[in-house]
Amino acid sequence: MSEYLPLLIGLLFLSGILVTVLYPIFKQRLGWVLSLIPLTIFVLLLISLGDIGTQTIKLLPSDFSLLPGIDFAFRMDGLSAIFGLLITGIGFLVVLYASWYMKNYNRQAHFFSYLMFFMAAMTGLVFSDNLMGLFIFWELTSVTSFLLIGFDHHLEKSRQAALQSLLITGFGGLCLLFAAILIGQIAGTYQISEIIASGIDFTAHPQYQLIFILILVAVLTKSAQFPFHFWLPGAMQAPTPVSAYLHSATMVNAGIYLLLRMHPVLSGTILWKYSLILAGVITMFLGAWFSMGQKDLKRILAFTTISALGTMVLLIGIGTPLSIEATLVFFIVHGLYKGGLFMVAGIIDKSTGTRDITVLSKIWKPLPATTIFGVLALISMAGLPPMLGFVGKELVYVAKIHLPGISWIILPLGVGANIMMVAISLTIFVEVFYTKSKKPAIPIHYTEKKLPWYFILGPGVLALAGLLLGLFPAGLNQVIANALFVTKNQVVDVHLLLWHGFNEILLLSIFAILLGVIVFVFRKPVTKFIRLTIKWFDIYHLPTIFMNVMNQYLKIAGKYTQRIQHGYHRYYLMTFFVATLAITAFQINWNFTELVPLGGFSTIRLNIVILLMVSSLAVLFAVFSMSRLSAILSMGVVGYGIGLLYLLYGAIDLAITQFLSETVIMVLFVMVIYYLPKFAKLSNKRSRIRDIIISLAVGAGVTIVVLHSRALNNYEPISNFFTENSLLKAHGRNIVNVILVDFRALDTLGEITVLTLAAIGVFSLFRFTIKKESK
Amino acid sequence: MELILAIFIGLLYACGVYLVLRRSIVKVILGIFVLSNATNLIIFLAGGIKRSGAAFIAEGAEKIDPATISDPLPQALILTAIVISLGIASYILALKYKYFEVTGTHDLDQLSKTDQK
Amino acid sequence: MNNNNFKNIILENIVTLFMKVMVIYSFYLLLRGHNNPGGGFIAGIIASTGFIFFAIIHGTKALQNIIKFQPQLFIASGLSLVFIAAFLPVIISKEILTGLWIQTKIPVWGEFHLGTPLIFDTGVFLVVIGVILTIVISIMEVLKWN
Repeated sequence: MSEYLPLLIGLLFLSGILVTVLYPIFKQRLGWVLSLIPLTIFVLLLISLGDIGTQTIKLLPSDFSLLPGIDFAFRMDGLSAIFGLLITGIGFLVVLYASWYMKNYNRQAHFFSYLMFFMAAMTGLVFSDNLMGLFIFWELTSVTSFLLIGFDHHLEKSRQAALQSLLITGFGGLCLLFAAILIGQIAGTYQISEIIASGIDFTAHPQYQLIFILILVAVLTKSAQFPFHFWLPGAMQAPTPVSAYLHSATMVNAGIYLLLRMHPVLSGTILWKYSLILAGVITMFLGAWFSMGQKDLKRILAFTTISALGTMVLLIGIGTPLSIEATLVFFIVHGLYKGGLFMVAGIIDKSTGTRDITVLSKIWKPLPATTIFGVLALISMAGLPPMLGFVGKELVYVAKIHLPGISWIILPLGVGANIMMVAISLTIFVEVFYTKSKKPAIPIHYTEKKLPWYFILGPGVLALAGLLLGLFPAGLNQVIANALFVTKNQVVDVHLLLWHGFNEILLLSIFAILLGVIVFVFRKPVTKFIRLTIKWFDIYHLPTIFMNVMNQYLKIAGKYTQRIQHGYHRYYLMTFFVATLAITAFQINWNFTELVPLGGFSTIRLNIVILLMVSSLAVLFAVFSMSRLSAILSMGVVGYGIGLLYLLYGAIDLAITQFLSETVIMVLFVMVIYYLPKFAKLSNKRSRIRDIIISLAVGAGVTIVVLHSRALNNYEPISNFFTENSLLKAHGRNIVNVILVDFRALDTLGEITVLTLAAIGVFSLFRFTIKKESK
Repeated sequence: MELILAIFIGLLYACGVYLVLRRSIVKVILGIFVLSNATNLIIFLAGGIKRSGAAFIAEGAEKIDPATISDPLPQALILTAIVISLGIASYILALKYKYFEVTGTHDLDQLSKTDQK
Repeated sequence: MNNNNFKNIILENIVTLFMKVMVIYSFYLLLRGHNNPGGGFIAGIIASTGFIFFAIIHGTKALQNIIKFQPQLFIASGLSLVFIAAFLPVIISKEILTGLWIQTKIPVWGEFHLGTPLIFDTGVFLVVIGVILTIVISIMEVLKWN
């Protein structure tokens, strides 16, 4: 099955384009049609899981390469499979979900187009075997997520959030590009499989530090790690389906994927270990801490995502097989519950019109199914049995405990973050869903009966998947083991269990839950305190600082641009002429005999000399004439003179064309000229003298260059070939015409395109006037 | 002859550049015509003017000695360029007409602001 | 100018004749262009020169009646011909724009080569006519030259 992978990814991209065609046909059903594509891929991936055993990596080299060594080769292995399954699976649910969520939006077709492109880019990213291909997909996810986050582009906030995320992730993307180039230079190839197989010890290479830091920046920006975390809460300006997708399976998880993919190549150094652990631990704790202080449901969830991503980065930093196993499980866990929770938040938002948890209450009654799914996801987030979240969290604890040396600092912070998660889950549950709270019930726009089933399908499937996998975690054993083999390059037996027996880990869990409940009970003072710290932290409010830096940068850039882009047409040209002249003067050889090779001239023909003199007089007259008509007529004389010159030198076709086009231009000119202003002396004497000096210098320069170029005859003229084959191969005696329509027909093709564009331009310029007049 | 032609081209360029540097739009258009003609001439001259036979294969003959005819390739290129400059010229005319109509001025220095008044 | 108090019958008839001669001559130039001076560009400009003079004297409405179609249609059909000529070789798996030839013998003419370059040239001819007429008609209609 995996042979069809490139085709499937191509299909995803194609669907992004085809939306334009499909939308008028399917209208509101478009989401249904589109969702079939990720569903198909998901099913095919599930089937092909059987293809890849524990230790096989299927490589799908591509025949097409952008540049030598840079192509779209794909690979299919355990790691890609996990990510691909989540991307397409959740993608399917998100597209279905969006088809109802977006129904009142304008530009639905745009939305689905962006969404499909985003999905395609993400799928391409996780299956790419070429570092450059990976980079291209990586940047594509940044660009498409920019479009999605800023989808409500009439809102300033949206635009700002979109720009912020683009600038930050785009910057990370550039770092990735540099890192990829460095790795490619060292390994001599961009294929990830070959880089790993080459056995080069990158960690011992003198440029390792640079490569690692570049990769680290790419990961920290993409996965919203401290200190770049602030774009992710901003990104919740996106429509909720996008948030659900962005947080659960795509975008931010690309960083995690990159770390896992690069793990065999770059890991194992102290630098790798401690910088990842440091970034992860700070992010994990800060995310959890901040989320407790938020009121907006989506914002709370955004910060918990940051915390979860921190956990994953931290686990990758630890780098033992156990911790990587925990990362993978936790990734699945997080994808399932976060996708579900965001969709639930969207449903609540749709049916009540708000996401503020201080206002929301008693959702249970009008939205029973949504509540069940939401609560299941919350249980998973809190890490309670019997959800998969519990399995994941236990594994995380195990990994942290078995970390030699620094577990005494990691573990308390980890447990702290978990306490927060428990408290947040409880808070959301009580504030939003619970029936017996004291708050008045929130007015409902849509009860669940009015919502279509496929709007609630998403969270339902994800919650049930979390529950089922929690009850039977052994189903994941093989999948995790496959991915683990790719990452750690060793076969590890994976035995996931819901119930580990009574041991210190379970004690830790119980301890965390108890403390979480305590925090929840005292949530009022706690949130107050947390908001205080957030306020204190806001002195260094990163989004504002970031925007200020950007604004300053733009201001400086604008200042300098205005100096160059002053808007005076003739000074642009003057700069151009003078600069060209100076560069030419600098370049050519000033030895006079070489500069202007005299001698070897053809004989002087008197008739042509007279012709040239007349033309010269005519052009001078045109320059200094004050009458428009006589200026144009003398321009015509110059044109005909040049036509005659062509004729005298045997270029018959050329002469005819010159005569005719000169005629047409003159006719056009005369037609328009009375609607154009009369000549007037606009410039003063000084600037005229300056212009005369410049133009004389340019004229002299051109003369010298023309004469100089005569001495250069480096290659045999290609026209000899045309001359010889004109009749034999192209059956034409008029060589010029044969060149035009046969030998160099592509030029002509381009030319008539230009002509057509000019006609369209003239047409629209004039038609626009008519419309304006009729108003 | 080449020397005289080169000087002629230089003169055309000087006039063209001078016209293009004017503030009045009509002069700028004229300057562009002059410059495109001059540039065509450069290409023509680059093909060599020593051989000046017309580039046709005589009836009955199979090929012609390249040394006797003027170089056909520059001719084809210039032919293309002439027709393109016809299109460009009419486009510029339309553009400048429109510009004059919208702004009511023919002074290019007034164009430094992109907004309409 | 097609003005009622300024009507010059001789001029009008001469221009009509001139236009007809120019158009017929342009077809002649187009067809012989491969072997003699002429070709799509020249023929196109010649034909449109005839049309322009006709339009100046008779007005654009009369010109529209003569050419029957919108000039944009000329551009479109010309471009289509060019692309047909360009991509016809692709069907028999050659590079695009390869010249394909059919040799025939026509009794009076003698040996005759019919090939894609001729289609190409005809396309160029139509595009040039269409472009110039589009431009001229736009200018004349807006600037009230008729």
